[in-house]
Amino acid sequence: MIYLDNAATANPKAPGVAEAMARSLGEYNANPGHGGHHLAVRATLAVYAARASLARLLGVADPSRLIFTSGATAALNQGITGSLPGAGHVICSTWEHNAVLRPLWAWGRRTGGTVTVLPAAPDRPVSPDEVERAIRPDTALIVLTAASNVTGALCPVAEVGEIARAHGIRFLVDGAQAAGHLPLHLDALPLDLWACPGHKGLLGPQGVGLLYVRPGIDLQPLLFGGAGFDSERREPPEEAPERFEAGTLNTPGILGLGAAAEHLLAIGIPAVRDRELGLQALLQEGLAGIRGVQTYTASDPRAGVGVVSLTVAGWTAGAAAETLDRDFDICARAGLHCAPLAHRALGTLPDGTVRLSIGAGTTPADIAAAVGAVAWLAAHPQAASRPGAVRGA
Amino acid sequence: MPDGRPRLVFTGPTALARAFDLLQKGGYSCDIVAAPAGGSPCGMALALAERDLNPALAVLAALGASPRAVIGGAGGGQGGAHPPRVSISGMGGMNEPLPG
Repeated sequence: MIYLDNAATANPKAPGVAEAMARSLGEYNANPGHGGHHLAVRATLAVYAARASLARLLGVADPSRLIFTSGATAALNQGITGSLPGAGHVICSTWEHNAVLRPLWAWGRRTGGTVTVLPAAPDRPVSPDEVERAIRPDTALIVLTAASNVTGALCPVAEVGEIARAHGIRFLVDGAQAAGHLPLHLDALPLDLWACPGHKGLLGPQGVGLLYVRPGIDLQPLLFGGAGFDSERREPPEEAPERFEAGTLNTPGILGLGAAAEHLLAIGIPAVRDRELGLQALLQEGLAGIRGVQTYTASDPRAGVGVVSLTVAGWTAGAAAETLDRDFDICARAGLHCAPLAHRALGTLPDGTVRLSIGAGTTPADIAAAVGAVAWLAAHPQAASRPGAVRGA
Repeated sequence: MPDGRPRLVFTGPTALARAFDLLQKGGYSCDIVAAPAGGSPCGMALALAERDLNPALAVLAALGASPRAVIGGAGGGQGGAHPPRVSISGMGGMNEPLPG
């Protein structure tokens, strides 16, 4: 099998993840932060160690500024809803995932707040100048993806962040496709909130994500419940991360993600980045020579994160991906990738594109096989399948 | 006057774990200990030799944490296979004001 759907979830996970999760269910199988017996203490310290590893990986001095959530969607909902107590104005872009758009649409319906969606080009998700021109007196939040999950194109986070800071506007970044792929120093970036999943570039398990909350940010909790201390108060604790982590944590997922962070710290994100850039260049070069194939990605791999969308003349995206899977044993993602406005901007509605996304397990041979398979599709428009092919061939 | 007995500082579990980590790295004597659960504060506390109390409070303050209470004179670690634990009989003294 050739797995090129790492933008959906990484496969394989980092070495040590499964083992850490299994240990969690044995050696640390208690409720961290909720209880004082020795097993609860052990679980608490293990969760803290994972939080500290992730803080080192992401360039965060204070691990307590990293909030564990169930994933990037929950982190984005917390960041958006917790920042917008009433009506106002929000700026985002056409490249946003529904994990950003739907909370914004719901907020707009609930409060009468308005959202400006900035147009963008495939090579550069959003223009900082356009962000600045869209700012209004009632702009309360700017939300942008760090890298498009459709094209991989990078957002100028630092430039937009400086604009947001100059205007005193909160800046939330959707880091779903950037974390684990790019060297990050969140404390040094001009942003207030950063959301990311644990199961994509960070190579951890599904079911756990992160929200970075810069110190001093006033954020209302989304979830209310037990914190394990201060139980007599009606209000949740004031201090992070417990203020935002009501209920029992996903300890197996967190310890698995901690193991993944230690793996990435050991090999270094710059090495990950170099490797992925090389593979993306191979993929783009290979696809560029195929007649009938249209790619949607940053023209310069350095402006992307190993994600390439494509269409093949004579094929719907769904049929092309199905044939890649059935006849070439290649896992790719077809459709709109939960980013409908991006596909509207690309002109790829209603079918969407086939997305190939590189990960830790991708090899040059995988890229060559994928290019060959796409070439076959292009040479056989409207073909139902490769004649005589069998799964796994 | 220092009496050599542990002092307990209660705060949120993450701040507690972070203070524990930093204090241990700094060579201070401290443990996270079992404490009666179900009250407020409940669950866990940082146990410190008295001479370490003020550095610990300084670390917690630097971490932005607010100790819920400090208990003085809680008795006897148990040792053994697990980290030393301190038994607290009753909740008296939980609401003592912080020093200073």
